[in-house]
Amino acid sequence: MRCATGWIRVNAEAPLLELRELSVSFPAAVPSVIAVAGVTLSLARGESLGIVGESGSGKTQLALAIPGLLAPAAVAAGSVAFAGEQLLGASGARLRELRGAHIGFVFQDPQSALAPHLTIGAQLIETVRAHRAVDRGSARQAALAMLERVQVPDPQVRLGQYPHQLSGGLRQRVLIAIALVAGPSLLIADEPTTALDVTVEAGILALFRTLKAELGTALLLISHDLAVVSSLCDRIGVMYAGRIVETGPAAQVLKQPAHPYSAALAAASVGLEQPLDAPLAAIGGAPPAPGALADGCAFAPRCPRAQALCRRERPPLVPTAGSLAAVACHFPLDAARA
Amino acid sequence: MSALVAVEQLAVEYRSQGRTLRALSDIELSIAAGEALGIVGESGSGKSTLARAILGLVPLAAGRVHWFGRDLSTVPRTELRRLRGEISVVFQDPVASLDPRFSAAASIAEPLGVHQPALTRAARERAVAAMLERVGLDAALGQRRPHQLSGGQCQRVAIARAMITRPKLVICDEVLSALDVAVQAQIVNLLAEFRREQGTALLFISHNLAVVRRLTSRVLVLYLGRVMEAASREALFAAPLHPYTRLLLDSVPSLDPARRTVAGSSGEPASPFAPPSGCVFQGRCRHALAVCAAARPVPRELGPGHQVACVRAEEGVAGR
Repeated sequence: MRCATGWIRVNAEAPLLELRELSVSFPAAVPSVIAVAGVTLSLARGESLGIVGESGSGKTQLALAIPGLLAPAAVAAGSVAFAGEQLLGASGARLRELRGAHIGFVFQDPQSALAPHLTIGAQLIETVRAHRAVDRGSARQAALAMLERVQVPDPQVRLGQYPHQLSGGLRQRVLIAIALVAGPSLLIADEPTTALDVTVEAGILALFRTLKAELGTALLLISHDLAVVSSLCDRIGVMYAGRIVETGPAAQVLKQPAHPYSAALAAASVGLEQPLDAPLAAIGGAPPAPGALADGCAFAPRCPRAQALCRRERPPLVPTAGSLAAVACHFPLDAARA
Repeated sequence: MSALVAVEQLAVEYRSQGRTLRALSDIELSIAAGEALGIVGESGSGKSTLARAILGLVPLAAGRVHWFGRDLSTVPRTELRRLRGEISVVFQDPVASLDPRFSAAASIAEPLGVHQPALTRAARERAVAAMLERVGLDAALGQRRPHQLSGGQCQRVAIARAMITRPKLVICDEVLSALDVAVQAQIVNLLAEFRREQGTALLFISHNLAVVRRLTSRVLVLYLGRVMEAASREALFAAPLHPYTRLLLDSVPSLDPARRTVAGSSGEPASPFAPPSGCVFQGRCRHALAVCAAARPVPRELGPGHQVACVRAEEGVAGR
């Protein structure tokens, strides 16, 4: 495939994104920190995958490692293949080409992710022209069309405005427009609605669903909120202490979780339908510090089902019989249970 | 029995760049001993301003705030200082709301020094140790400063500090929004336990309706500084009468993939500098009529303790 940013080797057989034993560590930190401890996952074209986990589970470092946006102190190892092309160790120039043109990124805080001294139009047009050899007029047309697509009211007016003149929800829509304006095949969104009101969040989630259907962009969504992930994603990966502990179709992970941590996370989520007579099933304790990864299952100290084996031996992520799911647990919950 | 806190015809204004912003208008509420009142609404609805007005931290443009039946504006400073031990507050940002120079234990002990100065040092230390244990913090964590604690741990410290004087009312302003879902559940349970054990009344301000449903028995819905609906929890969540309440409820993401929200884009709040004429919600309301832009709806009582400021409330428009 030929595009303005150069050749991209397309392997139709390969998944759009494939991570193999990806790890991210901060060796210079005292004590040294392993944020991501060997994650293997793949994402097909047009598919949406949600990564759920608590603060410190490594989900943001995982997201940053894919397009080469890790902090200088971080060391990534393993493999990140995008459309068959290895990204770990790729040149800075190549990664810059891929970011924006092929991989879009939306961050949590729409306030700080936009340049405060540039108009919305300047930032959108710059993004278009960085990736496509077009004149200003066509770039402006593309910018305007994308603002309309993300349902920003009065797009003509917004082009001339600065970020501080927009509400948080509009800024997030503008960021999504910037991430998508060059037509990437993968969008990585890290907590895109966490800073927003519930009504604005509902609007952004609806927008993601529309864009997914219209543009066919694959989505990697990172969130601490199971409800947000379940409203957007086909598949869910549950992350704990730097590792994926369960992955499977969204409905299955939510309704019949096999890993006790997935079950605990779902039970701790406050919803409108829960009975009020019992206290919330909060998860006791706290996740381990990222420097303190012991032998055995990292969730064992908080797990009601843990046995001696769990503290001794770390369970590998293995596919569950007869399904597309996989779980890393010595004593998984019975899927047949109510 | 008189209310712990009562607010009458309250209005608060802010001035910015020569313009006046009406942050709150015509607010009426009261909280009885042991009661739990929830305040919900989007950013800019005036929720946090209401908390500050009740605490006497912003000047009032109109109306009154009463603490224990006394007009707050007439209470002498020394007396106010004493009363502050009876009404405490927990804010949104758990790290920023604690003094960075104080250890967790020192932060928790500080209100005791102010409100129970006669307490011996040993008695104060015993009270702090008991409180640390009560909020589920290891004694060793008491010696740490805020930056050495997680967000959830800092929020436990802030709650311990608020509860150590055994206040009659605790005001919580978005205390969960900086926390992970898993930690939120722990804090929700902790607040519920304090209410059960000490009978503390609660004013719980949040944009999270599911949490408000868990913790409060009566709910006030604010939009652009005005009360849209006020009702018991049962009535509000089962049979809301205001279209704005319905919008908020429909926006809550569900854990059930089969019940994915269809709320779509509902627009965003109008500018509080230039609120719409008539009903402040009419620009976003899909049930709005010409009359809604012409006159502001007066809150009406449509059930026991159920007030609604919507001319179409009886038609059941919020049910759809």
